Amino acid sequence: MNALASNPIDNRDDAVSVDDLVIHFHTRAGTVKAVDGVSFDIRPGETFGIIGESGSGKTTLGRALAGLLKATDGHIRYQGREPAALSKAEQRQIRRDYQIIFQDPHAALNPRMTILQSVMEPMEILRDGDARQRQRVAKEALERVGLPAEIGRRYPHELSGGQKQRVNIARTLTLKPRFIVCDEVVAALDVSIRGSVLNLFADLQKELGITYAFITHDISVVSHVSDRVGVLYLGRLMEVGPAAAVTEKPIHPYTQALLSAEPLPLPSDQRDQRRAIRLQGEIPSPLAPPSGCRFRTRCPAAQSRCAEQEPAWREVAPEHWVACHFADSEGGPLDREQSISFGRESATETV
Amino acid sequence: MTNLTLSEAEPLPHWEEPALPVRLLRWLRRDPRAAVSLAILVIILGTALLAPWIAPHSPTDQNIDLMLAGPSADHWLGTDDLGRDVFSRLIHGGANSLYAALLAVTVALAIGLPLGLIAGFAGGWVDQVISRLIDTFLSFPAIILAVAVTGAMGIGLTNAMFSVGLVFAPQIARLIRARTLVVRQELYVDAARCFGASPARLLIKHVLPNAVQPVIVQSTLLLAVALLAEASLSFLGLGVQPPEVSWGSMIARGYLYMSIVPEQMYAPGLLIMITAVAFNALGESLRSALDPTTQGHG
Repeated sequence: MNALASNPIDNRDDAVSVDDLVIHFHTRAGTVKAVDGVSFDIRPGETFGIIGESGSGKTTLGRALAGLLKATDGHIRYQGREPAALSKAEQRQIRRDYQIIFQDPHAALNPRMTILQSVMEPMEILRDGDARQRQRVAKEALERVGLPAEIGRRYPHELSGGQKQRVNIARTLTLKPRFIVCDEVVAALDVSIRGSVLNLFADLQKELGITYAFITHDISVVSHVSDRVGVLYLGRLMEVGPAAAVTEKPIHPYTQALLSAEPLPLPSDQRDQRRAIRLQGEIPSPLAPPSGCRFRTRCPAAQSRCAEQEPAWREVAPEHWVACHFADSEGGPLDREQSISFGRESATETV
Repeated sequence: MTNLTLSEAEPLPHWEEPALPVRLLRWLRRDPRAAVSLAILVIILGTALLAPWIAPHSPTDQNIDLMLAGPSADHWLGTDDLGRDVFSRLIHGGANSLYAALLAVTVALAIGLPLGLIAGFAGGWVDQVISRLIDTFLSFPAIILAVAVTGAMGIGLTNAMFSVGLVFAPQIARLIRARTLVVRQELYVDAARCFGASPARLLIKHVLPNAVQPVIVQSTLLLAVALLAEASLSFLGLGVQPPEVSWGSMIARGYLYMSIVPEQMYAPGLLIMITAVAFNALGESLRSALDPTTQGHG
């Protein structure tokens, strides 16, 4: 858990800094270690991508970043400040500045409120302006996200998924947040409209300087929108680095496997052979994560050391952090020995 | 105030919600069932309130010469065992019956709704305490409680119906608690929380409107049950006290002479049934009117 603490965390300029964050849920089956010692920071104006498969803890992490979940241990600081240590007024400001947009645009809107009522609600809660001003700002926000203000008279069930997600964005914009957690914001949308919604996010960032944490399982999305990317597996970070480095030249075997799982529009004989890593089985239960390196049970390059010792969090290249015993600036364990490609195949099968 | 403005166009005019009477009229025009049931209830309530002016006879004037008579021009529904005009008693009795039913359901809602909402929303030990309390009350027979309450607070319709309300309250509380458990998990509740909404606002703006529908329907059913409960309690002598009259007490009395003048039992029974059905239809219409997904608004 403390292996990750070497990350620089006291940078007050960071929009968000996460320091050894632990979030456990107590259930009848035991303690679910959803997030289990994660440290990273997000810089102002950047988009920080968080990738991971189902069960990696990415949604839990996102909710914690938006202040919806309490940390079991560790800290989340907003511009170097911790909400618990602030006055009520400052906490309200943080509530306003740090927002989240959810995966399911329909479920995020109260079915009994008109679109306009939903968009005005944050301003009502925070007592911004009077009713007239709120309505004007809400209509402007709707138009800003590409919807006619007239849509404000309708109810959520009368809108398409893409329209509803735009409504959610408009609602968040009325608060003028500094930072928005985007939790799988396009996953529930038709492929045909994902692009335009993603472009809207990019435009708003350019215009308003918003910082994003972009949570997704879709690598093609994350590599397009992110400046830096963190790869989450079973509640821990495996790799963090510039988006280009992580998606073009990943070092951690897990990242490599994730990337090789991305479908490519190429005939099989033209695909990069080295990327063909198949992961066997399911992600282990977060009730009882494996000892040592969490990825070892599915790692093609796992050795006995991986079970005994947790890999240190090391900066193997500038800005590029990896948690793997066998990673260095040259690459990860799977890059080193091209010749074991046959052995790798059998290794995955014996896992 | 804002830096979001992009459009050069004229801002749209401010939208005002139409006033409540306007919305009510629109609703009634759209939903004939609501209009009919509301009309029936207005007529019943109106005649009950205007009884002293409408009724052809006094409900308490006895005519010993004319007991248990059948319908006639002077006494449309005949006279009861003390020679009182049944039709006039029916008109006067409505007020007591409606008062009794509304009192019981109001008490049930006033106690059950907040308890169930708080139990479902707070969870944990609060839920445990309230739920055990609800279970205790649920296991209590209504009549016994009514006897106990009237014994302690004095016999009378108000006390009797208050205890009926106490018996109904756990039903309401259980229903709203179960719905609250579901609704509090909804994403829009989390979203509002993220905007800094207080627990009170979450409950009133988001949880209650989305959890209350089954309670509306249940309340209209309970109104019907309360009309009957009033009848049984009055029959036992715990409710309406003679010479006061209610539909329930008329059934209780008419029942004794069923073989001679059956209409004297059936008439109040029919009115109870019509009232109950009207309440029910209105509740059902209200439920769908409050659900935007089942209405064409405009």
